[in-house]
Amino acid sequence: MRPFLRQICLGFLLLCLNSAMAASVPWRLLAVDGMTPLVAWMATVSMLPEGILPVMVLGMMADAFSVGVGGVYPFAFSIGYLLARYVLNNMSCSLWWQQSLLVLLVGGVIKVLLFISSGSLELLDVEGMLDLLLTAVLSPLWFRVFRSLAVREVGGEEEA
Amino acid sequence: MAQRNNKRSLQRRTTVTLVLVLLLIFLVVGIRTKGGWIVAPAVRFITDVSGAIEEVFDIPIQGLRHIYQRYLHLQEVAEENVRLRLEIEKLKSELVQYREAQIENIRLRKLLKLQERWQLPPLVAHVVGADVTPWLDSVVIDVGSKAGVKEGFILLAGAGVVGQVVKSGLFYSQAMLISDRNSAVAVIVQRSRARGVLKGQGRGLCRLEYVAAGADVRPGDVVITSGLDGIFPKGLLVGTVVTVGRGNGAGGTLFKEVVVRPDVDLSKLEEVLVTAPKLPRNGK
Repeated sequence: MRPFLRQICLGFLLLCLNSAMAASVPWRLLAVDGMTPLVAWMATVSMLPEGILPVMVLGMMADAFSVGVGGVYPFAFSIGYLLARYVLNNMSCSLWWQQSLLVLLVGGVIKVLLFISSGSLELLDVEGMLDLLLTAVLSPLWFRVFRSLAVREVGGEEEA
Repeated sequence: MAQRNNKRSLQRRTTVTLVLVLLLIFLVVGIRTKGGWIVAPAVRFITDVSGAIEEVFDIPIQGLRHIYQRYLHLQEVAEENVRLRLEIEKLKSELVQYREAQIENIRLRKLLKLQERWQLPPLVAHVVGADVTPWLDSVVIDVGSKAGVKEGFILLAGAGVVGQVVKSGLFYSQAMLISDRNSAVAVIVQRSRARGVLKGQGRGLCRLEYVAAGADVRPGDVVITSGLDGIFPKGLLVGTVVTVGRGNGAGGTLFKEVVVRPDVDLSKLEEVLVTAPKLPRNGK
């Protein structure tokens, strides 16, 4: 239960930080996104089926921080998590560039779902892609932060 | 034989797990979309708690921002100072004319018994956060239902319209800005009285929709609220027309494509006025 709560608290603080920073950053489409790496990270440390629960709770919390369509964040995060789990079941992602690619893939799916739900799919081309690349490049750093904060797996098994 | 049984059991378990996970996803999404009332108290609670934390995060961010603005942009500030002094002189002379017009307006309003029906005096609120979805334009403000703010209350800054409260917690509220793609405000062009609906376009800009192709709209025209939406009172400044073009798509020959820049710089909001929406004419 403790890792579950730790993941939720970390996600909540990230959302608060994102929201507070978003109010002061003029070029908002290139925001530093910590939530997508967190979803990918949770997939690396938490197995199905219990691992999806904190992801859904994070999605519901993200919903509360946004005026977008209700229910999109839990859906997008869950799909991102399931995709990452599928990839991780078939290959290892222990190197930094592998983690970046995983976040790029997961982030792409999450972003496309969020863009479609808000009717802003045209933003995917250039700004959305640049934001995605920035998130992917920074994701090894996020993974290091999450690892140092000891966000461990819900199911019991630690990251390989 | 035993190995085959184990394999079958594993396959069955995987199928059951996948079905359960899918059911769980649809259940959660269903509750969020159709059964909003079930999770509304939780959402309100999150808005309150997150607002307080965002306020704490906001302190060092604002500090850094002030250092940046005060020390690194001194040159810009000096130039702006000169420009603003000139503008103040100009505005002073205009103010005298406007005061005269205001007195006349008050007199006429009394005569016509048309009073603005505000439920509450405007409250000053500070912006402590913004939407976590970068392409949606909303802000978190530090007033909530405890201060009398409810969903539907309007936000003003300076003389211009800023947005509308969409979620209200006890101490904090979330407001959708007029530049958000889901926002719509009934407006008129002040000079020609052409009507339209101002919709958000993102990136701090708005689009004036349903303006007839024959309507007289030019770049530089001032856009004000028409009061027809029953939310924003008539005559509030909204923005200025930037470009006017011929519309594309099915309605291209019927409507003009007008881009409006809001009067208030929505990316630099710090303080806003929050007040009750316009009441219907019967006062109920």
